[in-house]
Amino acid sequence: MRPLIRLLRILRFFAGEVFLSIILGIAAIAAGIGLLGTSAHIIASAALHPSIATLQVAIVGVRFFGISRGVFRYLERLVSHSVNLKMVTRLREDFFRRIEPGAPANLVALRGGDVLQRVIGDLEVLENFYVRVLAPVMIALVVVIGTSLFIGTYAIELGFVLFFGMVITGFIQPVIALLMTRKPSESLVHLNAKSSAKWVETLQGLEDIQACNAQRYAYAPLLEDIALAGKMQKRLSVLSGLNSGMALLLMNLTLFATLWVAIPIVNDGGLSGVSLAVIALITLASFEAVNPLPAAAHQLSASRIAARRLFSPVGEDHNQLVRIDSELTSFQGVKLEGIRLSYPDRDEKVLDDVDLHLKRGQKIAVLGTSGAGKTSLINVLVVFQQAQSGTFKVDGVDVKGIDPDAVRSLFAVLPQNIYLFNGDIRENLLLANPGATADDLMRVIEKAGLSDWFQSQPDGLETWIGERGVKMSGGEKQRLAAARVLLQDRPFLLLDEPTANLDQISGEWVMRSLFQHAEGKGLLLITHDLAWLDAMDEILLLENGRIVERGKLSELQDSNGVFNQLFKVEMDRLIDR
Amino acid sequence: MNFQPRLFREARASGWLFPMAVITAFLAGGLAIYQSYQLSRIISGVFLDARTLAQVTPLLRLILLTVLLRALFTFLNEMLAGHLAVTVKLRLRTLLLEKIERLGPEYLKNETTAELTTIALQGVDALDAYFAQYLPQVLIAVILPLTILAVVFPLDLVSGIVFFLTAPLIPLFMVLIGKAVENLTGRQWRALTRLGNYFLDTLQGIGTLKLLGRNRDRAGEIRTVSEKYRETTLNVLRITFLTALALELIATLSTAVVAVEIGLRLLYGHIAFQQAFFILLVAPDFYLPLRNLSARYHAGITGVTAAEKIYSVLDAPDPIEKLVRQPEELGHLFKDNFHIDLRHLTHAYPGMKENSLADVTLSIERGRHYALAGRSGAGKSTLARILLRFIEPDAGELLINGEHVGGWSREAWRKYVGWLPQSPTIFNASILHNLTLGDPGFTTEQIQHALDIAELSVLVRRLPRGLDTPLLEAGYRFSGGELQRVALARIYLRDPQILVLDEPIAHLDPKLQHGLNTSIRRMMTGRTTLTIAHHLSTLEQVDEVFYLKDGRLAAQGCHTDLLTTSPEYRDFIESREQLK
Repeated sequence: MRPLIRLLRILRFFAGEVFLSIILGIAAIAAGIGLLGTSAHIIASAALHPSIATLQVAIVGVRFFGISRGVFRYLERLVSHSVNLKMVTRLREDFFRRIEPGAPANLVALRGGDVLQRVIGDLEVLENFYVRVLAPVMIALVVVIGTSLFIGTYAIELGFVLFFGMVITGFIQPVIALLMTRKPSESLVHLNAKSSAKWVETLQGLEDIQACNAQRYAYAPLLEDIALAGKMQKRLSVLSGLNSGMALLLMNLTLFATLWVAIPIVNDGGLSGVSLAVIALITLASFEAVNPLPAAAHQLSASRIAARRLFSPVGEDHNQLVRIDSELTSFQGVKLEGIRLSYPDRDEKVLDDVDLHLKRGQKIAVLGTSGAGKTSLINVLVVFQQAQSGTFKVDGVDVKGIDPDAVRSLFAVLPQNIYLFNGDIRENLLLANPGATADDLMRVIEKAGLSDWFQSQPDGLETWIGERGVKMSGGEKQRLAAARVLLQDRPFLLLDEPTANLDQISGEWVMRSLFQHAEGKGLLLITHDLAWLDAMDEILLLENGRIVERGKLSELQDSNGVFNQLFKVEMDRLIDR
Repeated sequence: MNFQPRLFREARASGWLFPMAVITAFLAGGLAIYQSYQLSRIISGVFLDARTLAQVTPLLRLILLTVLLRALFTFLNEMLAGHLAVTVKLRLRTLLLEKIERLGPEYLKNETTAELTTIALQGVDALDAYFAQYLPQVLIAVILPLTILAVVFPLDLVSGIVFFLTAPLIPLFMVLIGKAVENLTGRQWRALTRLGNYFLDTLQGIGTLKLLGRNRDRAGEIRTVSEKYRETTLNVLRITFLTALALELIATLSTAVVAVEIGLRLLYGHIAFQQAFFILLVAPDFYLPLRNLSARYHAGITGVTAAEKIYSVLDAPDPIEKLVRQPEELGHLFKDNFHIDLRHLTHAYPGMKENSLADVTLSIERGRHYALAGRSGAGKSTLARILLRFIEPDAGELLINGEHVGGWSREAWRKYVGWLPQSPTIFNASILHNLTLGDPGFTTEQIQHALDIAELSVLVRRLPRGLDTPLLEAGYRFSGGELQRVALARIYLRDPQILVLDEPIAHLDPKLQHGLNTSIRRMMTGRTTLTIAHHLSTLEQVDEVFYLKDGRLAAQGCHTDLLTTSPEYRDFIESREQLK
């Protein structure tokens, strides 16, 4: 139950609002009880034909309750939703603070799978925790005790009947129902997840399946899953039907028992006939408090799972935050020596004994097959990955003693996986340099070869680029990322295939701008493309994490080694892009 | 209102389930009224006529029976509604799968796979609430209040009139306020979704934030944005909850009015206590179905939205599946020296102005190797896909030995025309399954032979689990080249007469490239092939090159001839050199 306690502890920050929402919730139900109770009182009293004056108070009461119930309910819903939203705000902030130091490595490696989607899903579940679970339970507790005590003042036995009736209906039965349905609904969720993966795979492979005429065999498992899920769901609907029927039965049995106990007391004169009518209606009305509890029980078990996952450790934070050393101000060079890197639960090394010395004013290219470890090299430099062995020094100082954020601030990076934020062009560019003026932005847009595209955008810098920049093509995204790099005045540039999505002409344009920007800085270029190699001071050939050849272009061409072979294959490639 | 005639038809199509669900719900509701009536008799008897417990026991027994029956019908109703939902969902999912089969991979290019999966699984599941709760409730909300009216009117005219006049207010307010909410949320929608997605956006882009040095300030920004999100949401909720408030007020105020009114009439002896008490008891029941309907308004909206998406897939125009003529077995056509003619093929992709293929005519003869050359977008893959019948051309025809191919089913055609895509799909299953794709009709010898050709036999023998080794799971990690070979063996197993292949693009790995090329060559021997070429060496080796430019067939002939006869082709080949 510890994750739930943590949730409750978050709520103490807004205890005032929590209290208010509970009071309003109780008031709403009390008004409902009051409405039916006073109505019953009016009618029963009227049957005895008293003077109208004796009914006046009750008539005012009925009107008051009639109006106030809705108003209380309305206010309660607003306040409790506000509490819940505040709680989720805290949860988000808290999660971000925990995950930030180890990101992005922990988001990928952490327990595998789609961590992010799950975090978002868990938060969505918890968006209902207060409104659907905590508030109804607390309100029900107060109402159950309150009404039982109130009815107990008429006759103590009746108080007990109502108390047990409500406890069984509201607290015991929902738990039984939950236990009954938990297993089948869990296996249904499991089946759905599995069959979702099968659908995705089948649809993604539809071309191959159709080309092989294997439709019949490919669809069969999908149809089987659907049939199986249907069967399970039918079984679940029987169970949930049983539970609904049971809840109704229990509530009415409580009413029945109340009558059974009350009638002899009325006969004996211990209770007036008017009271009998009032008690019957109050009993019916007070069940409103326990009605939401079966749903709350369901939500509670979902919330527990979500909270446990959300609060679980998010990958160790191996980055010690240390203040940046003072001698790190000249930034003359970064040096990797004997770097070895492998990922957990994989045998092969991604980087194996890699040496690299990037100085200011120097240009280094890294070539290699996909999967050779080129991108991992960048990840080591920006401290997203920590090498298992080897040293990484900046101006002779080991980075282990430096704040990783400070190390990163040395590099302007154009990554392979470009991420654009849901926002406009200005916001996305300003992230790179918050102090940039509109003129600066226009300049880098032009230099990144985005002018033509930019001219065609109706809202200029305020043009909305959508979620992950969906409104832009791959090439446009890459150029926007290049523009970000051009906005940053940092001593070193790391470019990971900066022209991968560009046609030849715009590729050359972008590269020229980046080279110009790299003047007097250190440049590390990862590439597939053999163009620009003659401008490089050193070329590294990376294969399976090892550097197999290095040198200037002319040296490599003369050596008749691996580079020359690759070069031939590359020449065989038709330019059909 | 959220009424989808097609969903209603689906419900009716599932036989007796839907009427039974409605009937049981009605019986459960009707019995509630009856129970209230008996309850009023008991209380009236004890209160005014001083009846003893023994005297009212028969009535109490009757109540007990009523309660049991109500519970039974409630159970039956929920079960039947659940079964109804399952039946409809099963039907819709089967229809979706059949439709996807007919639409083929071309359709999946626009409609992303994930989206379609969501529609078929979660989308169809969203109909649960619609069939289980909303649709029966719509009918109940009409029938039950009318029944109560029919009972109350004879008892007390004034109460009947109050009920009768206030009832329509509930749907009226629902619609009026619903409209206002829609307008408001419509206006705030973009802000809301953006604020709502901000956190996910931040987490997804956390690497980029760090590279740009913006990670530290972000935690505070998350709070600011979440606060803004809360404020905006509450503004919307303030209006949204008005619907519930209005419904609540109508129901409670009417109850209050009725209570006071019958109380006063009772005071002056115009009505009997038992009748008055009964009316008071049924007053909340009268409004309940209508309020339930509004509470399930959301289930209705969700269901209709989901249905729109489902039907948008089901209603997508089928590619022309012309009348299939017999016989389905086309083996005789491929026996002797067959030739395939593509005549005046023209095709444009939906939404594109320019033709991707324009009036292309060419023919393919048995046993020869052909290559398609051209820049990307020249129409190479469109042409290949027409030959494979993934695309039906807008105009032009595909003939074999002079007979129209379009008349036969695509399955019959593809038995003889095989396809090796550039990056074939590898399924998360065993090697064996990836070869047969579940088809049990291959012999061990056939499979072994396919493995030999693809040079996989040695590898498979080395694996402890052999052919049952799963391909994509952890454990032995297969290289990209090995996976390519599995796909190669998959096609070889089917022994197509004509092989269409999209040449794998070489990444800078000469060894892999060379080995794969050898296997591919071996597979091409003795077969008619059409290669979408990306390598100069391929063009040099085939018998005939079709050079496509902007969707037209610009030149055809063997590579060396074309270099001299076609300036366009020469330009195309030489542009490679210019790059250096």
